[in-house]
Amino acid sequence: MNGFALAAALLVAACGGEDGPPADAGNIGVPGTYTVQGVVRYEDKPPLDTGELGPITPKLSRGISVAVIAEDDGATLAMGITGDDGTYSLEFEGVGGEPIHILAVASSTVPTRPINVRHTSAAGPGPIHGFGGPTIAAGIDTMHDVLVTVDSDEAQAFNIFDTLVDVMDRIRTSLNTPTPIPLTAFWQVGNDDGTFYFQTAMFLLGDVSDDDGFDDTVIIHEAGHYVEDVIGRSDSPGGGHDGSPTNPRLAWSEGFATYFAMAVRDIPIYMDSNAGGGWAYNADTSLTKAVPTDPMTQPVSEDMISEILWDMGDAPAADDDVVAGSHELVLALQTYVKTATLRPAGGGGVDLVDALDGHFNTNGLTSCTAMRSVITTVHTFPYDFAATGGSCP
Amino acid sequence: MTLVATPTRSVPSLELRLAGKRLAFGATAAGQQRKLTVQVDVAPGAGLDVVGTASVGATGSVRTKAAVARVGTARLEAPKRTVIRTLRDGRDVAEVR
Repeated sequence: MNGFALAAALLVAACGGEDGPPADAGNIGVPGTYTVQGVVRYEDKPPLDTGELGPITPKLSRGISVAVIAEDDGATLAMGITGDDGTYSLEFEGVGGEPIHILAVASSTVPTRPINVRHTSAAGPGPIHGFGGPTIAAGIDTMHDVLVTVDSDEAQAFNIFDTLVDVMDRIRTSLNTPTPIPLTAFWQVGNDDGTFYFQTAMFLLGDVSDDDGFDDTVIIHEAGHYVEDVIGRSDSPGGGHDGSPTNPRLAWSEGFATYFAMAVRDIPIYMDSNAGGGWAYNADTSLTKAVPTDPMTQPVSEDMISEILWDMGDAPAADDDVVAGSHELVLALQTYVKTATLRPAGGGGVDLVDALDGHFNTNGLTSCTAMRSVITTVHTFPYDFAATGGSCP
Repeated sequence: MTLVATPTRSVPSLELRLAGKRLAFGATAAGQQRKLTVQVDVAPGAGLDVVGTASVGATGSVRTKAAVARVGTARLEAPKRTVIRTLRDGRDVAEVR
């Protein structure tokens, strides 16, 4: 996020696997229909408010692909998707006692959650991340749980997938998009090529000094750019950003993406872990201001935008601002800017001014007093409150 | 070992940490190098990952970046069992076990 020239070295960890339970003795060697069912979990390292990661905590793998793989020839005997409780149940034609295993895949073909988590590759998209459980024997009704371990170096991929499940579900419920355009996340251990978004794909660091695989807010921030790309609009010129005042279009894009991460989790904290611990930013308790005497086109901080959007979206219990909004209304501004004719009063392209115009054009002028308090009194941004839908009194 | 931090923009303050040592600097211009050097002791035949961080900002909006360097012997890595499988629907999967 911020830019320092620092040297780093890489390291990777190990993986595991073991034999499973024996088959039903009476069915060994008998052809027939067999079933294996269980729960898939992965080892998460939950983000803490300090920016660090918490201790390993098993978490359900929602909506991932699972397959029964024959050990003898690697054939796929059955495929399915886990439920939101991590459960799967797969039926297949086989031979009792034949050695099989469950392959968990960080991918979904379900139209409501079109997510793939892939390896990076210089020659194009690499393969999807997968984790194979221990060998078990085919039985009439075999119970078998799978745990994707941190030691396998695959748990991050499954966390990225699970975090993007929350994103897709939020897009469906808040942005009226039941079947989003497929999103691909590229991550792997050792990837030091930066974290960024480009054309329906996010690229995430997997470096020993900075691994974003468990950084849920970083993942959702990049998904925020995907929302801008496929549902809303972005005119960001791209490039580095660190919270300092910058191009209004870049600041809007980055500030919205950070706010999106906070809205999806309903927690006003952005965090980014690294080998030294990490850092965190609270948009509800931080205060970043603009220069009140400068024009609306002035360079602004992405942090100020995240803070304003959070205040517009959080309400009403224990709220420290006077705007009675909702995250749904704020997120809907993306659909507004996608088709709206933008006022030239802003920075030439989508920025905070256009989003604020969208708020008043869409929701009317009843929030004028409260919005003045947040925008011009607290954050000292010189918005003119003169959207095409009507000027605030 | 020496940690070198070079801000890409001017910052009012900068803090470096390396192998448990900490050093605070005042205002630092963009492109200006700040360094922290510490002696790291490693037993014969052993290895150590040394973490360095650079932090800017005030309480509530601190941003940090980290670097890791290995000194001494390399970390032993168990080889992974990775197989590329093609599912029935054509998806290629790199399976780790």
